[in-house]
Amino acid sequence: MLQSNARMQTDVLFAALVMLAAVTLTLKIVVDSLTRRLVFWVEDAT
Amino acid sequence: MSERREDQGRGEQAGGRRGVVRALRLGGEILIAGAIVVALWQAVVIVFAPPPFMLPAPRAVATTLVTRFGFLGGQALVTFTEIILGLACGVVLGTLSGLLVGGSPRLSRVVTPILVVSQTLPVFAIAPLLVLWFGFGLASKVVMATIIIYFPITSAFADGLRRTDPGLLDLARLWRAGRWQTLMLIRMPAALPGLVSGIRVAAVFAPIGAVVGEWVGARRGSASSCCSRTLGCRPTCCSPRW
Repeated sequence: MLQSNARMQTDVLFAALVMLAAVTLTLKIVVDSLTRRLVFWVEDAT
Repeated sequence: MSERREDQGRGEQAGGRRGVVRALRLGGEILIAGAIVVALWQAVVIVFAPPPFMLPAPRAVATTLVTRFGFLGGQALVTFTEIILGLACGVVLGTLSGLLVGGSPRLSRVVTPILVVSQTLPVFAIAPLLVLWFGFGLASKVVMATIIIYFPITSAFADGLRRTDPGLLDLARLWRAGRWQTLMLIRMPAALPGLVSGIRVAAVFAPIGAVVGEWVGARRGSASSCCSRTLGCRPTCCSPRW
């Protein structure tokens, strides 16, 4: 990411950002569903 | 009896179906959100027409994403490992210290200021040091992610422990529960929702830690930090193509 930024390879930088966003989103969804099971008695809106 | 079992079975089936419906709806929502972002992005590119090195069009990025997917995916996998490890370490450490801080008011008075001060310390400032201490490999990134998520988890859990329903505490006292029993049977379960919201926040912050670590590790320009350690980074020492 840093290298592509420094070399003005902005498309690679953005592609890396997209990958990172995908990874984070996946992680967030997995953690959400796991923790929902952990505190099954809590009713939340999500 | 058999009827009840049937009912249960039906209930589980419905639960499974509900899970599928929920997953589909979530996927749809993510797609819609992504489409909105891409549309805005494309609109900015059309209206302001920036040169590609300042803001590439979504199409160019998508092309890069597809053509270099193997490379980018490999990098993302490394980052993902760092994030998962950092998250695990942070959750374990944060839970333990949350237990200490929330479990003992006296300890909390001493430790809380330290925790707060440690949190105001910007990770960016100590990131280069962490890389020196823990090397250019996985360890420094995991430590960085751990530091970033440690505090939210600790404070969420400690708050949860502190804010136990007084009625429940009275109940424990009526049953002559010891301090340890009160903690394990009443305050811990009551604090779990707090811990869970801390973990949910941590899942979003952990990647920042990992990326900050990679950023600094890459700036050092060490050969050991080239090929795999940084998302989307490949210094010339590894690849003559770049």
